[in-house]
Amino acid sequence: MYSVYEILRDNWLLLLVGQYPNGPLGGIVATLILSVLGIVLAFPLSVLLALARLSPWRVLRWPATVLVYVVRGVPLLMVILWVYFLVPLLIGREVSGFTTMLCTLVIYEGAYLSEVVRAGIQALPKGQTEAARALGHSHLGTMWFVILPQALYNMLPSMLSQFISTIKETTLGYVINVQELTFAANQINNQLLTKPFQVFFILAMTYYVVCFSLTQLTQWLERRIAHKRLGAVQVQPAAGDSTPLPSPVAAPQP
Amino acid sequence: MPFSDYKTALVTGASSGIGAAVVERLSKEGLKVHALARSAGKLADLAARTGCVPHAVDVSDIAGITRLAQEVEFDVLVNNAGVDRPGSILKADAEGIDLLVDVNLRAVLHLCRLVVPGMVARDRGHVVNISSIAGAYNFGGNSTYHATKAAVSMLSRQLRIDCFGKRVRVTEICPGRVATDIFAHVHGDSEDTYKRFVEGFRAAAGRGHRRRHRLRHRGARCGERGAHGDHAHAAGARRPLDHPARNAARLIPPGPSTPAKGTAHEGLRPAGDPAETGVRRHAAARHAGDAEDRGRLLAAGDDHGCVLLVVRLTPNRIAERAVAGYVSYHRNVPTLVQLMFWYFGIFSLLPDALQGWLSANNAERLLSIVALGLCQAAYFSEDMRSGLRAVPAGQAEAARALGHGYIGSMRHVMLPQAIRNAVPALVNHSVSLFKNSSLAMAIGVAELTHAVKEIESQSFRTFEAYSVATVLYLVCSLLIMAVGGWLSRRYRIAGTR
Amino acid sequence: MTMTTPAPHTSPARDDTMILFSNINKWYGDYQALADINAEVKKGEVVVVCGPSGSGKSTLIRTVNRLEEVKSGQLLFDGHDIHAPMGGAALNKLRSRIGFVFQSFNLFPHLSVMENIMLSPMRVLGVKRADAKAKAGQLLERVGLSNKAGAYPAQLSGGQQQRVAIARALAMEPPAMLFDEPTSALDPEMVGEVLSVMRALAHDGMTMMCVTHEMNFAREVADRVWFMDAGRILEKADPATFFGSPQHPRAQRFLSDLRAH
Repeated sequence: MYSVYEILRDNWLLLLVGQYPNGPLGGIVATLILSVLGIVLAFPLSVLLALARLSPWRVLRWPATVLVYVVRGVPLLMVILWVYFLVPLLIGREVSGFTTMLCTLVIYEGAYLSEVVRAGIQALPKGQTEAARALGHSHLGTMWFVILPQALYNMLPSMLSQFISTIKETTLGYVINVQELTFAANQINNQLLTKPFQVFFILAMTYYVVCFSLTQLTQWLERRIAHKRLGAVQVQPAAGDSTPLPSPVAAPQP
Repeated sequence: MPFSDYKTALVTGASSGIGAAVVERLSKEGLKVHALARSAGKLADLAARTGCVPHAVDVSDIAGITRLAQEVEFDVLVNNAGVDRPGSILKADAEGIDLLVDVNLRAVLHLCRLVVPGMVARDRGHVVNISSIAGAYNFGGNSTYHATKAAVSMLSRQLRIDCFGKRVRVTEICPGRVATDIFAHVHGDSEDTYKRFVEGFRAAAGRGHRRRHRLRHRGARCGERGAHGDHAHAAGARRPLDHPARNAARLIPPGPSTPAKGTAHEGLRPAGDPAETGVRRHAAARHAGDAEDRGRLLAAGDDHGCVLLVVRLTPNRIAERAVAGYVSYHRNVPTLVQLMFWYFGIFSLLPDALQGWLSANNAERLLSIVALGLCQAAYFSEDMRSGLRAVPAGQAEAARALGHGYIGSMRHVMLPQAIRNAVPALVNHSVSLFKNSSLAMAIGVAELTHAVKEIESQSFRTFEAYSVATVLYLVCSLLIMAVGGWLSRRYRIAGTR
Repeated sequence: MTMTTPAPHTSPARDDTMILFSNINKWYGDYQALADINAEVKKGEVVVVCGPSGSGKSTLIRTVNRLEEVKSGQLLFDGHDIHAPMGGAALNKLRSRIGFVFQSFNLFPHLSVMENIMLSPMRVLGVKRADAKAKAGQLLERVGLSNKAGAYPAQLSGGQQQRVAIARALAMEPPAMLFDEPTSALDPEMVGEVLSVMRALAHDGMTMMCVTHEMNFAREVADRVWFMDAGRILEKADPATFFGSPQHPRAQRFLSDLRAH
């Protein structure tokens, strides 16, 4: 295990930031930046997709459903290959591995997140939608003011889970030369050549620590939300709690 | 352009070592191979063995190779002839430098001059330059050798520019230490040399995939750690992914094989191209093997999952913690990293005999099955745990009250209900296991995504190849989901939803 | 009380009709939920709809603001045909004029009481924030919950939540209010506070249609009682007649079952 310490001591900077400033930003910082950007950009897309899937208009519902099914039915690696192929065609010039990975993550995570958002919307009691519509709100107004604020809050733990998945998915950037943590670890392994077990042990443990901590955070958040949403215990109005009700005209005797 | 379109090949330095192996392999693929080397005797043996056409010509004999190039049209050119001398520039002699430059560089340039224009004219060809890790890294070798190999490396990249717009491929191979005679030629033929340079290293027996040359290193002494920078060419070490993008500097442009930007598929599709059937045939063949693997994976994951679940639920604290740790590890470490950990890390810890046996028996596939199976077992066990939690506690109590033991109550009462509850989640994870198999491509397993990449780089038909793969994946995913739905309905408990 | 079978109306019949049902029919698949409903609620009237469970009472009241569709027939609210084909905006406008109170309150849990009441006037009717706030304050006072303006629904009792729900509906200044079993989800001791609010509303002249099991309320406040069973209105009478001497045998059985408790 001393060699593990040695490897860390000699290469911690590479693992942390890649070859920066002598090259692009890499290592775990790049992994985290890629993940955060991916999820943040995927979020609005996912809300739009979820709304499209739940919309009463077929012209929105069908394409959205097809897109989500396709993205979920195909491996991430395949999506990466598609994006790598299509994006330069669409915008007319080559894109870096980082950009490709980011686009891929946005699409992939957008589809998965949209399922989370959709589940959150559908988990709300139907009465909320009915009440909003009964008050005269339009479909979109209902979504914006009543449904989405509740659904998104309830789904925070699931969204955080998806963020953790994104961190794990960034490892595939290795396949297209994106300088993230797995790439850095492979660089070290290719230099050392004789300590693969130690290097990959470090790699696995780094991911473990990051993802495990975030998982704990997710569970704490879940408990907190459940507590808040289920509400305080039903409050019994004590005597004099509410102001006296206006007295009606004396009711006619039966 | 499938491999089958190549008819002739020229291999220099063919009498022994890498050259001879290349001749043998290309002959097996059905090409007419012209073997060029100095020693007529060894060439004759080679010709007898493989049916190649021997040419006892020194590669630095310009007239000789000019004649040969004018006689025959070559589709594949393998510039393999190479020599080395010991010592640094401080101990160099004029004759040594001239020889190295003549054989390692000048001959390569002339052969390219003579052969490549024909390839470009016919819009068909493949140039393979055997350079060396010495072209990229510095260690205690011969400086002229390093220089010539670096030159070959740059030439390979430049050839790409020269051949832009045509379907001519350029491959550069950078071997590390390969068990050939070059060491004997350089350091003297002796026991010592053999021990030092050949036996001290482990060869991966019987794993000659067409384009990869992998060698395992034990105690490599490559001097100073190489430069940071593009480690895509750290050949000699196990190359984890022979993906065009990975070897960006060496192979044809990364990503889809569009020879020229902007003219993506113009004029690249002759009518009635046999490559079209090739695309489908390839995909089908690979996929069959693939599906087999995946079936094995699913079964493995399922069994382990059940075992894990039962262990986790025992009152034994240590067992419970152990399984919780196992599940936690597999859920928090990315699948690709787990695969790498098994393939590189744990493999290196195994006893030598086992390593040898694995290498000879498709280690990638076996190890990826192991890694993915264990990973999915973790997820399956969690799914079944959730399914179990959804079974009312009174069920277990009733079973125990009737006298069943722990295992009995699990087997007859709890698990049947738990599994029914867990089916939707299990189906979801089965689909994701199926998709995770594509990750095995990263350690060289020839599964569907890998096959598609190969087809795409051979046929330049990116859109079609990718579409076929996408449809195949989708069909299988939807099939798994349909089976899950059918299972749900078939085993539904009467009266429930 | 006799029931006439009117010819289908195509134009509002009388000026003081608030809600008019003409030959309303509705099916769920093969099951007929509403059959040949013909009835009207006049302005300022309080109508109570009662009957055994599954009789279609809730379905009927939900057709008024088109939370349920109808298969055939015409439903006029204040002269407008609610079930005519129309654009979304037109339907929303109509709905904003019909106050609806749900059995399960359906307050918006992520908004405070004050915000619940202010939201729809501001966003649907375009009322300015200050005006909406003032109105909300008044309404809270009217239902007796001024001190709960900043509270969240999860912090209120069921009865308090329902009163807020009534205030929320009133904030839209509707000409009529519909109540779908407003007290059925409440603990017995809280029923009274909600009924008091409803009584006060009726006293102030609001047109109300209530589906309820609270027979005392019906007796004291209703102008007319409709009795439904199996999707039909079997009897329409004033409370005294209905509770004193019901005509239809089904109604008689219903009332005797009630009294047996």
